[in-house]
Parts: sequence; structure tokens; C-alpha cells
Amino acid sequence: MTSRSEKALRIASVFALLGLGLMVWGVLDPRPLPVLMGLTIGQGVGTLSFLLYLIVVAADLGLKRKLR
Amino acid sequence: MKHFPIDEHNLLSVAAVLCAAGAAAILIVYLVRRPPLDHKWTRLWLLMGLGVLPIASATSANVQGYKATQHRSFCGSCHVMIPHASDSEDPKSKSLAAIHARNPYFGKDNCYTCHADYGMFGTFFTKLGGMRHVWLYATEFRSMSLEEAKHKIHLMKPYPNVNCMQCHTTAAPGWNKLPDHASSKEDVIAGKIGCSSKGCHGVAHPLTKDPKDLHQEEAK
Repeated sequence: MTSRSEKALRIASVFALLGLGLMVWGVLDPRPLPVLMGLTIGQGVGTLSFLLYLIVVAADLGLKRKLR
Repeated sequence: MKHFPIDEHNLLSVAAVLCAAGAAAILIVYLVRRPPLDHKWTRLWLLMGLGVLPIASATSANVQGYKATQHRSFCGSCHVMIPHASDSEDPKSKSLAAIHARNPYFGKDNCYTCHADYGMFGTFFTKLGGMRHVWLYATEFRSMSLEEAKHKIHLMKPYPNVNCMQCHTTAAPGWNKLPDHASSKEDVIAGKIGCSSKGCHGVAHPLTKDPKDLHQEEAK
């Protein structure tokens, strides 16, 4: 694993924490603003974090294949 | 002591929060301890923390959020809707909205049940309309006084009779027995006469009308 991958995963972790926080806010405080924030920004940031994770996994698999 | 009934909505909320807490715990440990990524367990934990648990949490939160938007307390959380929600909750109120709210089918979701669009894409268009409400609230009504907003708020389009007809079918013999119904059936179906209008069943939310207008309607 490269340091770029590690950095990407750390960013993904922070994004995921932010997204989870917004989603939980919408669940615990079901008013228009929290619910909308959770369903839009929360979901968006969460998806972005998962995409980053998938990119790292794909890059790692590609690297391993090249090494073989 | 306040009792919270255990239903599927509460369970969904609990599931969303627990999954989010689990994912957060994994991610915080990862960020603080920074374990080597070559390790099999680190990857597995990250799969849980960045994939499995957040997706489970998001799914539960989505369903719960969707359900929450149907609840009267959600509609009433914007200050301009408080009188409408309070009227629905008033057991003594004789408004159409309150009468329907006392029906278990409508219950605490009475705003949504009456105002939702029906049909194949009804849910989508209802949610789209809801976004418009949020936008209008943020740009126009947020700083408006309740007294001013009460009379300024209006429906974007005439209330469709088809929403009433989801329950009150015009095909039932009892409905057709009433001379007013029988004589106006075509106009009601065509939407030329509103069920909830002057001369028929009255306005659903009388509190938004000017008292003078209401008296005029009653006189008619």
C-alpha cells in the first residue's frame, strides 16, 4: 500500500464520519433541515467516501497484478 | 414517564444509529492508531467501517427519513404550519383536516395522506413538491409573521378531487343518493367543482381564511 492510498483512506474516513453524523442528525431530529442535510449532503459525502475506498482497493488490486 | 411505542420506525432509527456508531468507532480507531494497511484485519475493518455499516446505516436512515417526511410533526415544524398542525391535533376542531386526522387511516400522517399526489409517479412528484415547499419557506416565509403567513399561504394548484376520491368513491350508491352529489358528479370528476370548497364541504383549513370570507361562504 502506498502513502497515497493511506492518505485517500484517511480522507475517506473523515468523509464517512461527516456523512454518518449528518445522517444520524436527520434520524434523531426529524425536521426539514436535518432530514434534507442527511439525505443530500450526508448521502453524497458518504458515497464519496465509499468510492474513495473502492478506488484504493481497485488500485491495490491493479498494483498486485502488475507485480505478478 | 413518556412511553415510546416500539414500531418499525423506531427500530429503523435504532438500526441507523447503531450502524453509524459502529462505523464511527472503527473509523476513529483507524484514524487515531493508523494500523498498517497490509494487515488483513485492517482491510476487513475498513470494509466494515467504510462500506458495510455506513450502507446499512444510510439505508435505514433513508427509509426513516422518508417516513419522517410524511409525519404531521414534520410539516408542523415550520412555524407557518403550526396552526394547521395544531388544528389537526385539536379533538374539538370540526375542520375537514381535523376530522380526517381523527380517522386512524390518516392519523398522524394526515397532511401527507391528503396532500400526496397519487398515481404511478405520485410519490416522486409529492417529494419534488416538498422540496419546493422547503425552498419557499427558506426564501419567503421563514421570517414572515404567522399572522401574515396564515393568509398568504396558498396551494400551488387547486386541490384535486381525485385525492378525496381515493377513499370517497363517487361510484358508491350511498354517494349518489345525495341529490347534490348526483347533480354535480360530472363536474366533481372533471375537477370543475371542488369537494373542499364553498357550498360543498367547506374549506379544509378554515383558520387560513379571513373570518369575513368564511362568513360569506357560510352565508352562501
